[in-house]
Amino acid sequence: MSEVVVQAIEEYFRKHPNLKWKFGNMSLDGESTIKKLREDANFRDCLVKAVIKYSLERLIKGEE
Amino acid sequence: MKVLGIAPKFEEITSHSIKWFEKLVDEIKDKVSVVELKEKEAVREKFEETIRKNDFDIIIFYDHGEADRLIGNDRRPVVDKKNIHLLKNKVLYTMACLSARELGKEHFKNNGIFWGYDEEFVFTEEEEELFERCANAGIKYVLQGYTWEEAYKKTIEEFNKAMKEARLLWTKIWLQHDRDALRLYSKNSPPREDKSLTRRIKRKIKKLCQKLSISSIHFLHSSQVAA
Repeated sequence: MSEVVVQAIEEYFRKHPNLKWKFGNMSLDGESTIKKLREDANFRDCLVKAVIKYSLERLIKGEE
Repeated sequence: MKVLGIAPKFEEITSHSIKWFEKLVDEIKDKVSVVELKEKEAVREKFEETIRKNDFDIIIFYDHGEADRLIGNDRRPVVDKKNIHLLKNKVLYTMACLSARELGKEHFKNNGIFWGYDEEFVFTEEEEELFERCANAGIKYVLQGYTWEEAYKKTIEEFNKAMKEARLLWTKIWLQHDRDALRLYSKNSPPREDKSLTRRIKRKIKKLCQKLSISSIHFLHSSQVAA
């Protein structure tokens, strides 16, 4: 199931290739995020968890 | 009240965090006396020399950390489990990644108060000011007269407010992540023990999250929040 979330994150970054962000000691943009997602299981798990937690909170609070 | 502020600057990310630190110092310097160790001075030897000569109440450290250390300008630990005793009875306030996992707990055992994060601290560049505001909020609340426990609650509210203000979906996701990673260890808010029951519950939540991930996909695709 997490593979579906990974695909969604990849799709998001394909739409926003210039989104710059920092994760710990890493500086990332769209391309490097997609590359890292495919190569680093810990990084992938962390992103999947964050996206699911955010979505769950919205769901529980009934936010659109 | 006397504060020791430590802020290395040795690569791109620390060039962001040192600005957050400088802004924080600007905002609190009328209320407290601040000694700063920045860039080349933000190293272990200088820290140990300074803390032995002065009686500080609060130590602020911005930026990189690991579970058991805070990283200095020379990429060696400024503070780790070997010298954390120098902070006995003091407050350690940091936005460093992961340090709540081990270093913060060790500091708590030394009768210290710890404010920091037990996951990576994450931020987006475009809406950096929202993350900065939340990272800097706790100590400012305390200097307004709130207890550390009250400041923690108000900072969580600050994160929630920032999430509402954020324009980027990616910003909202990571503000929530940072909010949930924030830890305060004090006498009234001690670290939680990670007992086997807790681990079992965490595993069940993880499974539930995996089952519900379809909802997150739907949200990602249908969100009206422009990024």
